[in-house]
Formats: sequence, C-alpha cells, structure tokens
Amino acid sequence: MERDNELLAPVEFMSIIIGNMIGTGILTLPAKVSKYAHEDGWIAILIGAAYPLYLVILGIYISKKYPNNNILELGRKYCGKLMGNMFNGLFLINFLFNGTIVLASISNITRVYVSYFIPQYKSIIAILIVVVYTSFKELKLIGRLNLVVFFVTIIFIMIPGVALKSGSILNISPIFSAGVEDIFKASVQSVFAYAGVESFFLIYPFVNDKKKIKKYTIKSVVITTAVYLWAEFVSLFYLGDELINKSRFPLIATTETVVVPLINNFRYIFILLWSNVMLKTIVNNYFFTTFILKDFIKTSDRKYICMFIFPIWLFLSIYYGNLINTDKIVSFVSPIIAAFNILYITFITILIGRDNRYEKKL
Amino acid sequence: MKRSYKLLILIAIFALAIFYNNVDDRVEFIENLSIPIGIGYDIKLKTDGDIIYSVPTNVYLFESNGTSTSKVVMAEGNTLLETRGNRQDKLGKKFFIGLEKVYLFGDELAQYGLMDVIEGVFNEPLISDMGYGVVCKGKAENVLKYPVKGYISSAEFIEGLIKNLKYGNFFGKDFKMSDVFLKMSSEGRKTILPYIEIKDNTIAVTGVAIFNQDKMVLKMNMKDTRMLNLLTEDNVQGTISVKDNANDYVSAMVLSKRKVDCIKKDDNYKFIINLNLKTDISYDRSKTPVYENKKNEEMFKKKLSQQVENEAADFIKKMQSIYKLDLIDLGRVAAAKYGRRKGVDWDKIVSDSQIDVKVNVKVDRVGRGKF
Repeated sequence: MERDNELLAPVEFMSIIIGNMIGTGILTLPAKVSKYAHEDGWIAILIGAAYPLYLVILGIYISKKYPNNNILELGRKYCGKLMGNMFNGLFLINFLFNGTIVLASISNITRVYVSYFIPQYKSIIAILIVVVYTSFKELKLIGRLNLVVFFVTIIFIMIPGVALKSGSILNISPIFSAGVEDIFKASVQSVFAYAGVESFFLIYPFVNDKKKIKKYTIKSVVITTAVYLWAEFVSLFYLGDELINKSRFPLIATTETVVVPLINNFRYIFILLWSNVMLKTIVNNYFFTTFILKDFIKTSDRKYICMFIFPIWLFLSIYYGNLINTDKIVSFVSPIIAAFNILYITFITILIGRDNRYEKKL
Repeated sequence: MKRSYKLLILIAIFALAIFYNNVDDRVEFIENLSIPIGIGYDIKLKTDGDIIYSVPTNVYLFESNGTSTSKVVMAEGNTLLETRGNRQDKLGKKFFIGLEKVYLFGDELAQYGLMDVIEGVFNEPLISDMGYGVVCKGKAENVLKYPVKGYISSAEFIEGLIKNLKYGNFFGKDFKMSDVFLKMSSEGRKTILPYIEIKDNTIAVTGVAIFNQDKMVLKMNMKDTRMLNLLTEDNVQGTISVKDNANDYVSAMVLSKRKVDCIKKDDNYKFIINLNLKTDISYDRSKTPVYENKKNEEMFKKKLSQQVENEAADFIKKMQSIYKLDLIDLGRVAAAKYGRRKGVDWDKIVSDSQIDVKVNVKVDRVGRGKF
C-alpha cells in the first residue's frame, strides 16, 4: 500500500461512509417505503439497514485479518489475477452507478424546484466540473470534506423538524398494520438509500487507528439509519401516508412549513443547502471510481483518470434521462448490485476464514 | 508553465460564459413582471357538458412614481393551463407565478370540483402553495374587482381577513393550499374553507364551505360554524357568553383544547370528544360574581359546560340526521386507531354512531376587579 499521503482519522473514515450513503436517496425514501408499507415505513427502513450492517460486519472481520489490504488486493489474492480484476471491475460499477444516478437525480431535482431554465445537460456539466476538480485532491481531503459536510448534514436534517408543530400523531398510527410481505417489499426499495456503504472496503487500510474501525463503522450505519428514520418520521407526521404517496420528494414538502420573513417559500433554500450534501456524494463516488481505475491502470497520476472518465459520467447521467427513467433503472439495477456485493463479500470472507483455519492448524 | 495555466483558466471561463449565457429569456427583471396577488377561479358550464375556465387574476401594477395599484385581468380557456396563454395576450408583462396570496373559488366551481386547481397547484413547483384557499359567493371575478378602501386590491384584504380569522369564533389556521392538500388526501377528513360574501359594502366571512373530496357540498352559517370549529379544531380561541338576561351574564375569552377518543365494540363505534375550555372572564355582570367564592365559580363552570354540551349535542344531531356527513374529523381518529384503507365509509359510521361531548371548564385568569 502506498503511504505517501496522510492517513484518515477514524471520524473522517466514518463520515466518508455516511457521506456515501446520505445523498438523494433520503429525499425520495419516504415515498418509496410508503408505497408498500404505508404507516410502517419505518420498520422497512430498519430492516433495510440489515444490508449495510451485514456488509460492514463482514468488512470488520476482513479488516482485522488484513488491516493493510483493501478489497481490490484481496480479490486478486484469493481469486487469481484475472478473476480478481474482473470482480474488481464489477465492484467498480457500484460507484459508477450510484454516482451517475445521484448526478442525474440532482440535476432533475434542481430542475424541478430551482433552476428550471437550464437544460439538463448544462446543469450536469456544471456539476461535473466542480466534482472533477474536487476529486483531483487526495483521500485525506475527501475525508475532511466529508467530515465538514457530515456536521452540516446533521444541522440541515433538523430543519424539517419544524413540521412537527403542524403535523399530527394521528398520521403515524396505526402501527404494525402492514403485512410482512409488504414490509419486505418496502425494505427492498430502501436498499438504494443504503448503497454507498461499499466504500468501507476501499478505505479501511487508510485509517490511522485500526482499533477504532469497528466502533466507527457501526456508528456510521447507526447514524445513517437514524437519519433515515427521522426523515421518514417527519414526513409521515406532517404529510400522512396518502400525501407522501402523492409527492415525489416528501422530505422537501416538509420544509415548506419553515416560515422565514421575506422568503416566500423555504424549500428553495433547503434545496440550495441540501445540494451541498448531494454534491459530496457525487464527489465521493467519482473519487472511488478513479481510485479503483488507478488500481487497474497503475498510472502514477490519478488526475488523468479523473479527466478521462468525465465524458463517461456525462454520457451515463444524461442517458438516464428524466425522473421516471431514473427511477425505473434504479429499481431494476440496484437490487442486482446489492446482491452482487453481498455474494462477493461473503465469498471473500469465507475464503479468508478458511485460510485462517488452515493457518491455525499448521 | 504557470502562465499557460492562467491562460487556460481564462479560456475556460470565457467558454463557460458563452455556454451558459444564452440560458434563457425565462428569467426577467422585476420591473417587467406582473405579479399576481390573488387568483380567482370560475367556470362556465356549456350545454354539452364541457366547461370553460374563467380565471380572473389580480396583479400588481408598479408605477414609476413609487405608488402601486392593481388591476384584474380576465382569462379564459378550456383547461387551466390554456388560460395562461389567453392571459398573456392582455398583460403586456411577463406573468410571474410564485407569490400568490389568495386562491378564490367561485361557488359554482367549488360545487363542480376543485381537482383541476389542486392538481395544478400541487404539481407545478413554481406556484406558491402558501396562499389561502377561499370560497366566495357568486363569481370570483366580482369579488376580486370589488374595491376595498385602504387596500391596493381586494385580494390583499381577503388575505388579511383569512389570516386573522384565528382570533375569534374558534377558527383554525389551516386554510393554506398546502393544508388543503393534507385535508383532501387524508382518510376521514373534510376540507373546510372560509366562505366570503360581499355584504354591507364590504367583504366579510359569513361561514364556511365544506368539501366532500374536492366538491363543495355544504355552506354553513356563522352560528353553526362556531360549533363546528369548536368540535373540529384543537387549540383555538373565541368567546362564549353565559347569559340569563340583559343584566345578568358572564362573557369569557375561551381557549379550547380538543381530544377525541374512539371505542369500537363489535361493529359499533363510540366517539367521545373531550373539550377543555380555559376561560378568561372579561365581562362579569352576574348576580353571583364568579370570583367571589368557590361556589359561584363552580356554578359558572357547570352552567358553561352545560350550555356548550347542549349546543354541541344539537349540532351533532343536525349533522347526523340532516347532513349525514362526518364534518368533525372523527373518521380520522377511528382510522388511525382501527386501520386505514379498508374501504370504510366514515360518513355513514359517524352518522350512525354515538357521539358524546364532554366539556371541562377551567377558570384561568383574573381581571383587575369587578366594577
């Protein structure tokens, strides 16, 4: 492992994982889970958290056995060079897909609410330029960026809390009314919101205090789940199930209850603030895409890769098109990616475990 | 090397400026905009069942000497979006949506159904849903054109009217369009909007319009509205008088809190509405002054609660036998407790159920003294 850069502090490590998960998914999550689970959407979100938790628990085990090798090297070690590289390529799709989807979503969302006068490709180019510039920097800076945005996110996510004064407790009851099947369907829908936890496997070797990895990773999953539960709770409390199902971005609707003098509607401000959070998610995904590519290509300068994949990202995020298409693609592709992640990581873990037992016998 | 870097940045900035400069002419200077204050909605029913929307819009006119006035621009169209084009033909400035204060529905449209208007305001992200929804008698056009002294436009006056309803008659404060979305979509709730009329040379609220789904089914007078509000809203204020005769009465400012319990036995529902009335006694011309001793206070409490309970019972009887609708959001409570989306007709259930009103009076604040 190259060690010429500064290492990540555990809290930066945690905020990268959180930052990779919390982005655009949170805005649509209440609508997605409400579609099937209605008032019990929060149960679906809790169950959905099993996905990141499972990956992370395996990840912690792997990181204990191989604290200095990330998943890319382990893949090559256990599956051979060819197969390993192939799996790494599939692992890359995680970040490519999440990043471009978030990019397409952010351009769509801002075009719905704020910048309706800019064509989609122009807003995507504008965002990408910023993203590419940021991902020129090293991992430490990405960590710092995520740390700052993490605190900002926590502050921003409190804003919809104002809706609590005008909602009603009647909207969130009755609890436990949806069937088990519906709740399961809804929790599958929530998986995309948790996508991004995979970044753990790339960056754990860069943490300076390896003993704290376990604590902070678990923390990151818990915090993300808590934020999602809060978003679901506020939306449900204020809007009620019926209106959540009618809205495309329920969380944004709750911010309309914030009354600030001279501002006709607070949701514009909220979009503006929240776009920082979404931008950071794109930066992370862009960075990790180039990070994996660098591992393939072994060039000395990652900047060239950053420049090189710009058109690919541009093409993909324009290709997804409008929100209807994006939603369709997400609901089709993201369960497949999640399934691949689960299988791949489990496979690697089993191999490591077997190896370990074998060594002990010797 | 460094120089070329700077040059590159300059070229990049230049290129981006060209790339983004022809963004659009959809953004305009504020002076060239006509900003609507209130939008009215009327319909004309044609004989073949088709409808024509007529949308009068009250827009600001900013003049160069600093004063501002307003005018009403009429527009017609087969759909609501078509009226926009028709309006633009007469405006002379770009029509700018986002700062609407009042949405005024003529009662003919209200009876026909608000769904088109609601869909537009809900879907279109630029339209403000913070404006108040109001139903008016007759055509919205006439109300918007009615001059109100001291105001630039009648729409501005109506906004003030609705905004300050909450200070009397137990009105709630949820008449914004965003509240209409909430009420219209949730199970077991009725949308209730203020009803205004031109009366005695001014515009005044004379009751409420009650919607079943998106259609207005009922107009209620002010006397019933008071009771309706008291039974529906939580945390509202108004006045109640206990009057024996002209020289023997107690008047009090009342802050009302409402709590509803719902009990289901077999297939029968029973609703208990608990009203907690916190009273500030303002006029005490009673023969037995309230603050004189504990006995008088208890007597007053009993009288007041008895009076409200009787009025409420009358109202509920009327509601159950004549209107046959669940006007007081009881279905919402029952749905929250016993499950939603089961296709239950709450109007029918509430009409057939036993509804008890329990009033609990608390004397809160003392005045300076009794004269």
